[in-house]
Amino acid sequence: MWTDNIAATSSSLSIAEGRYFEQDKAERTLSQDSKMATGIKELLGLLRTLGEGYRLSCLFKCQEALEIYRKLPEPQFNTGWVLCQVGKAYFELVDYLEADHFFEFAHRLSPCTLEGMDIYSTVLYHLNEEMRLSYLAQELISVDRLSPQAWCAVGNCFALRKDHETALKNFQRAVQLDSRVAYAHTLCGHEYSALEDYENSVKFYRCALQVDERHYNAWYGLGVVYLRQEKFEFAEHHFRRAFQINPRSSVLMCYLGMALHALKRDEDALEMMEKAIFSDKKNPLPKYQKALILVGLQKYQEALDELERLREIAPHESSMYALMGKIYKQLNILDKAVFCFGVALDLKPPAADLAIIKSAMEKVHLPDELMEDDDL
Amino acid sequence: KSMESDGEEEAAAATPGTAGAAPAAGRLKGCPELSVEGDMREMAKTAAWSVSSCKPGNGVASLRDDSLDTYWQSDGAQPHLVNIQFQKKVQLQLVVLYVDFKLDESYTPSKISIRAGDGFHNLKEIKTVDLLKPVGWVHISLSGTDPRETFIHTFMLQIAVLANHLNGRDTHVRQIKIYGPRPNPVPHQPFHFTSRECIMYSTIR
Repeated sequence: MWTDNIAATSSSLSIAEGRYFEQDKAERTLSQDSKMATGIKELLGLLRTLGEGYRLSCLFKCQEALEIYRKLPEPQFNTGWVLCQVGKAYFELVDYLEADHFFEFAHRLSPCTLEGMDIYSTVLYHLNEEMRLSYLAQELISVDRLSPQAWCAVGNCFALRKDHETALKNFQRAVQLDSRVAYAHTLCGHEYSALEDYENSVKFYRCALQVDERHYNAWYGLGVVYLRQEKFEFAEHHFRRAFQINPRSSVLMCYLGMALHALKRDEDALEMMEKAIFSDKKNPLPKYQKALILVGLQKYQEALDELERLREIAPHESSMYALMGKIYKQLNILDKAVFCFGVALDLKPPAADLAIIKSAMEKVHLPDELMEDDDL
Repeated sequence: KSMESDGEEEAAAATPGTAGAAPAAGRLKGCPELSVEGDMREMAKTAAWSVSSCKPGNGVASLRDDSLDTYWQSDGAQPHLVNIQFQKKVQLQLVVLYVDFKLDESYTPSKISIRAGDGFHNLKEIKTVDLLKPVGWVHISLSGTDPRETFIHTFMLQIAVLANHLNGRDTHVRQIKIYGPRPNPVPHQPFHFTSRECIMYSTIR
C-alpha cells in the first residue's frame, strides 16, 4: 500500500525509493537469515551444553557435569529438567543438602514433573525429613498415581519410619507399574535387606542390574548383603564394581575400604579410607572406620586423633564417644574413659548400644579381657 | 523384685501405655496398642513354631496370622506350651502377646512362664508373669536388671501357660510377637550412629 502510494506521487522518487527499498528488503532478509543462523547456532549450542552435561552425568563425572550446567544462561538453568539434573549430580556426590536445594526448586517450578522425583525422595530420606517426604509423596500421588516415581516416594516415607514391610509393598507397586525402572528394583532389594531376607534382596538387586548394568546402587546393595553374610571377597568385588561406576562417591570408597578391612588387608583399607576422607571432608563415615581400623592395629593415639577430627564435623555422635571410651580404657586413662562413656550414654544410643556402653563403664576398672566379649 | 499392691496396679493401668510397658513384675493387664520402640524389630518370622496341643482349626498358625479374631486353643493338660526355635542364636528383648479376657474368659492365661535355652533339653526359666483380666497386648520384657542382661542370647524360646483365669483348663492366645534389637545399618560396626551428620552418610540408597 505504502509503496503504491509513493509510486503514484512521484515516479523518480519512486524509482529511487524502490531501489532503496529493494536494498532494504535484501538487507532485511539477510539480517533475518543471519538472525536465524545465530538463533540456530545458539540453540544448537544450548543443546550441546545440555547434552554435554547429561553425558558427564551419565558417566558419573558429576563435578564436571555441574560446571557445564553452570555455564547455562539463567533462564535455561532455572528449568525443571536442568535443576533436577543438578540435584541428581549433587546426590551422586553425596551432598544431600545441595541436592535438596535444587530438587526443591525444580519441584516448585514444575510440580508435575515426575522424572527424578524418586531420587528427590531418597534425598529427603537421607536428610531424615519425614514431614517433607510424606508431603512430597502425597503430591506425586495426586499428580500421577500410576507413576513408579510416586510409589518410590511413598515407599521411602515408610522406610524412614522403619516400617519396612509397607515400604516393600510400595516399592513392589512401583516395579509393577514399570519394570524398566532399575531404581524401584533396588529399593525393593534395600527393604528385603532391612528385613534380613537376603535371598530376595539379592534377587531384586540382580533384577535391577538386568535393567541397567551401570546402576551402581544395586552393586552396592549386593556388596552390603555379602558383607553381612561375611562373604568378604564377594563384598569387595561388588563394592569395587560400584566404585568403578561412580568413582567420586566417598561412601562407596568407604564401603570398599570396609570390605578390605574385613579381608585383613588393612593397609589397602586405610589407603581407601584416606582417599574417602580426602575426597569429601564432610563425610564422617571414613573417619570413624579409619579409627576402627587403627584400633584394630593398636595404634590408639592415631585413632584418637582421627576421632578428634570426626568430632569437628559430628560433635553430637554417641558412637564416637563410645569408641573414644574404649580407646582410653585401652590406654589405661580411666577417668577419660568413664567421661567418654558417660557422654555417649547422654547422646541416647539405641538399647543395644546402651547395654554395651553401660557394662563397659561398670567394668572400666577391671582388666581388659572382660571388655572384649561384649563387642558385637 | 517386689510385688506392687493391687491398688497401685489399678492406678497404673488407668493411664494408657504404662500397664503394658511396665517391667514384668506385678500383674499385667494389656494395652490396646502394640507399642514397640523403633530400635527393635519382630524377628520370629523365620523361626519354627510349635505348640504342645491344639484344637483342630485353632493351631499354631492362628498365633502368627496378624489377626486378633483368630486364636490358638490348647487341647490337653497344663502347662500349655508354645515353642519357638530360631535358625541361629538370636538376641531377644521383648515378647508381646495378645489376649482378651472379655472374649475368652476362663480361657485367658493368668500365669505365664518364659523359658530359653539351646533346645528342649536345657530350657531355663527366665521370667514368670501374672496377668490380671488382660485385654489387649501384654508386653513381657526379657531384660534383667543388670545392663549386661538387656537381651537374652538364645536358640529357643518357650512360652508356657501355667494357669488360666477362673481355673480354666485350656487356653486361648490370639497373637505372639517376639522382638530383638535391629542390626546396625552399617555392617560390622560396633556402635550405631546417632547424629544426623553420620546417619546421612552411613548408607547409600
